[in-house]
Amino acid sequence: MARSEYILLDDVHRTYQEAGRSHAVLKGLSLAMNSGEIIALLGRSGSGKSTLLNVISGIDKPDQGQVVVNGIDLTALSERELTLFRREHIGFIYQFFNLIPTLTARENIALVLELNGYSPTAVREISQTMLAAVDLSQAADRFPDRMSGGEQQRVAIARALAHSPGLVLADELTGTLDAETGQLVLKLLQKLVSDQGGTLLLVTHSLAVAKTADRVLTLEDGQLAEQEGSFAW
Amino acid sequence: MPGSLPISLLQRSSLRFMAHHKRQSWLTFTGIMLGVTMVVAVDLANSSARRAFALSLTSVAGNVTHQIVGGPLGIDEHVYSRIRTELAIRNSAPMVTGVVRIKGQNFRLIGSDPISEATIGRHVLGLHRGELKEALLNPNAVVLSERGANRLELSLNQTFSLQVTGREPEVKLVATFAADNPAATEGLIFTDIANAQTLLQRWGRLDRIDLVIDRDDQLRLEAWLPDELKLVESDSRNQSMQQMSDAFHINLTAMSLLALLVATLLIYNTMTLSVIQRRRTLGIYRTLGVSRGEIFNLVLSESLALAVIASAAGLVAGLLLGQLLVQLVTRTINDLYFSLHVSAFLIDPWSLLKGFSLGIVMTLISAFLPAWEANRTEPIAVQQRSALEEQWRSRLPFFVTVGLVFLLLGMLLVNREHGSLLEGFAALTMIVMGFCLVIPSIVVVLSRATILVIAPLPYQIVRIAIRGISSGISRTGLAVAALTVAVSVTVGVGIMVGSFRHTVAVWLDQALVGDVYISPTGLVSDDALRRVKQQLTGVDGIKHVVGSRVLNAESEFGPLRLMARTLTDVDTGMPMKEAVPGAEQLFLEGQGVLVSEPLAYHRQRGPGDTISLHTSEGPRQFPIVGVYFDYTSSQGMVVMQHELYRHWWSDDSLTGLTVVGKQGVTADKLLSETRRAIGLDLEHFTVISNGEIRQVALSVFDRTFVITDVMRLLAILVAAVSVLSALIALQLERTREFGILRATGMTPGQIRLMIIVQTLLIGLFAGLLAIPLGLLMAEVLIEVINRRAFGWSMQQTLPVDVLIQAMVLALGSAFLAGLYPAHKAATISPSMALREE
Ligand SMILES: Nc1ncnc2c1ncn2[C@@H]1O[C@H](COP(=O)(O)OP(=O)(O)O)[C@@H](O)[C@H]1O
Ligand SMILES: [Mg+2]
Repeated sequence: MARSEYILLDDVHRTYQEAGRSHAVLKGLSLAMNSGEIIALLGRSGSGKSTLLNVISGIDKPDQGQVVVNGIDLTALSERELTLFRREHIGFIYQFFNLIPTLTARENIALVLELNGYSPTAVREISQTMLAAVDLSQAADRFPDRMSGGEQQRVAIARALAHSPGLVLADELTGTLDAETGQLVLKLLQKLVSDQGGTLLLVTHSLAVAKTADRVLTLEDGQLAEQEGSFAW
Repeated sequence: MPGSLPISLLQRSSLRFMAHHKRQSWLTFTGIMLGVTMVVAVDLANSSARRAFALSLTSVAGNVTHQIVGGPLGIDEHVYSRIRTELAIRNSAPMVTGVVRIKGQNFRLIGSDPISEATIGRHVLGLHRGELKEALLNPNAVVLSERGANRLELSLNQTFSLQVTGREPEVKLVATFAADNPAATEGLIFTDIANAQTLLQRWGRLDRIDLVIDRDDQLRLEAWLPDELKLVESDSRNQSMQQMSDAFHINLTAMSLLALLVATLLIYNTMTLSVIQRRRTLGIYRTLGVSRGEIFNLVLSESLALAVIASAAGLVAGLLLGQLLVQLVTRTINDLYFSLHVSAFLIDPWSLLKGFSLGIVMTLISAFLPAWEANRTEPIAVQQRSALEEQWRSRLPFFVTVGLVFLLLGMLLVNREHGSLLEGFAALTMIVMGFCLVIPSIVVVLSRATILVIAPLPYQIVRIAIRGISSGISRTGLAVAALTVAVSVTVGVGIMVGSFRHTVAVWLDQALVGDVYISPTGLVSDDALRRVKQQLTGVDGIKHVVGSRVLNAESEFGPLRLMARTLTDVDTGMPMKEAVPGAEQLFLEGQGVLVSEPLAYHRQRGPGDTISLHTSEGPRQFPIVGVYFDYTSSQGMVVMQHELYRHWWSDDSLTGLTVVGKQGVTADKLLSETRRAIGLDLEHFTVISNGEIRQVALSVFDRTFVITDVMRLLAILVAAVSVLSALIALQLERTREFGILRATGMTPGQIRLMIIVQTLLIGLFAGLLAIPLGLLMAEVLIEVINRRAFGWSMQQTLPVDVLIQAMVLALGSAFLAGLYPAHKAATISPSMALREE
């Protein structure tokens, strides 16, 4: 195979205990994803999509099974090592943006760079570039509560990509945006990820969005199913 | 980046958070500041008074190693010249001292010999200067400190009169000096020793001889010294006098400790609040790859920054408050013990350093838990709303267990016989902390019980309000705890003071057996009172007149008060605590002495033991036949039959007379008869009735405890601030809930009502809980702190007004603290509240 496997999940189980009842969300799930690939993940609400992203990013640990990302076995890492792994390799984008309310747009982007130990000059330059890339140079010094949803999501994208992570995880990023804005934001994300040669795992409800991906997977009953690329429309 | 500072973005974000949440930052700031203020103020006041006291001792005692002291009549001055010639001990200086009045104020007259002073290297007074020596050799020349002269509005070379031994000789101010420590010397007036002997009419007598000697000299002197004289180490003298003032400071320290505990709760509260509010932000940090350690450090460094600023502000406020307190403290010391001038406010760098570091340490300790809570923050993706309260709730049994263990340990410490004072403080801290840990669980139970009680009623709003208390127990539990501790401080201190006052009042009734008391104003000649006694015998209405002699006597424990009385009935005037069988008879026959309770407690002597006193014939053991209650001095007092005293001290003078009236003679009549009989000499005596003494004694008592009122006030202030912060926290967390309630049709008025009901309940719970804690605290304050410090026992009373006051205080401060949050919650815009998430 020409392209290496960036993500390798094997027989992953995740069961939540709640109020004495156990609730299996991931049931022996396996996934292989190549570097540079864009995958859209579909599935009903509550099917475990967010859980899967959390397992891949090391936020959540599987009860059983193997999670290897970029050749690193996450199940063997300590809490601190997982944090450092996430800091370096993952970019996250959420439905609710999750920007730091007390930092400006520019500073939100700079934060991840600073955490990754970039020099002050590099931090300044990269955040400038990223702001320009998402077309928000003019809003650099605004705080999140002074920006529209679309603008906030663009900052979130810039923040997720600023340190050129190997993997970008986007969880229903268009969920709170109107259709048009959603499309624009999505296009922007895909373009930027492709430019960086990054890998993108995209949770979405929109088939239109799914159509633009390299592959489409559906999470159902704790397992992934490949959706053959031919949609009827 | 514009305005780039050398701080990380994480820190910058923290700073902005604090800037955006000004109220909250101010609350934390205020909490730390008030805590530091209280500690610093009390400490400064204490150390100012203590140091001034120590210095006024050194200014009199210098760096002497030993002193020769004599009996009531002092030391024959030939002893001094013989020490210099026969024993060739040159490092010695004689001194004569006495109290004189100038323009109505008491001063201590110190007569010393400038030339011998030089041999013991006493500098404090500046007496080594040649010109001063010259000046002092002139008859009637006196020297005052600059400050003393200013206070009396005297200028150089001015002549003025002293009131002494019933005369008013003229003296001349020949020099003033600037002392290193003005406070220490302000109440002193210096003159040559011969002048002093003349002024005090004590020709040929010395009060003491100060020495700087080594071990050899000491042994030689001891062998040589006549029996009626005693060689004492200068340190032990100072120490035993120091103890008295220390004892008083301890009560204050206890109170500042309590205030600090309340402040700690407040800091903990506000820091937790700031963490909780940023749960989302912290969750995002965690998702972005900020490690737990980094978040922990972030929160700790935030509190550190606040602590530094707030502690610094606390220092400034403490300095100001300290000025006020120092006046209250010294007034008390004056009343209780001796005249002491502390107009100079000493800024002891140690006190400042202590207050500052305490502020920082307390903040870090109280921020530790919130920081820990912050570091447990899950990444945003896996955060669950109710998790925090659930976590808190699951920890409640643990809190209760630890709290009970603390309470138990505290109680064990309290009940230890003769435990140290430090243990007393430790016990106090443990009991308060233990109680605090149990409070949240009790609050949960109480609010459930309240729900059951109101179950049949249709008041939904009240029900929501009460549910809010138990569902937000992490906040409300804290609010109740802080308020409980603060209110219990007022209960505990109130009961302590009340019991103390009651005990003293009862004791005064028992101790004041006479109807009229006569004592000399200032100094009179030795036989003046004997003359008065004769004048009074046989006067109409007077049954009998009893003379007494009170003096400082040397004992195995240093100087003690010794009282010699002619008693016919030992039960009157000496309320007994414990005694050997037949004590009364033994005492009356001069077979033994009585000791006061503080003396018995501190020195662990009781009936059946003996005490060694230095008589004119050298040290002698006296059997102790009983211990009596005494609240006049914590230094300790020995009482003996007058005959016994005369025998061993060969001293026939009196210092006071007690007049007992015949049955049916009114106090007024007795007073006027007595006054008339004394006639022209009246101006030299204080003639005061039983009732007046009682009144004076109690007003001195009340003044003593004014300072505790100030401390109580401060504690309440801190508590109100912490209730406010807890309520704001609650309200902030419920923004969304209020939004929903508003959206579903609750009016702003109803929201306001709901929150007021909630805070009133918090106040009610706190008031109820403050009573048991206050009782415990009173127990500790009375049994441990006061007993261990002063040696006084008290009959514990339970003043109802203190309890009512506590309830009003708890409800009132909770209500006031609830007004603002109620207003904020009522004016929340439902759409804004719901938009967030
Ligand atoms: N921390 C958790 N504790 C208990 N149950 C959880 C937790 N996180 C998710 N779940 C449950 O797991 C299931 C899958 O959730 P999630 O992965 O968020 O689904 P999706 O993102 O596909 O909507 C849901 O039923 C949810 O209630
Ligand atoms: Mg989801």
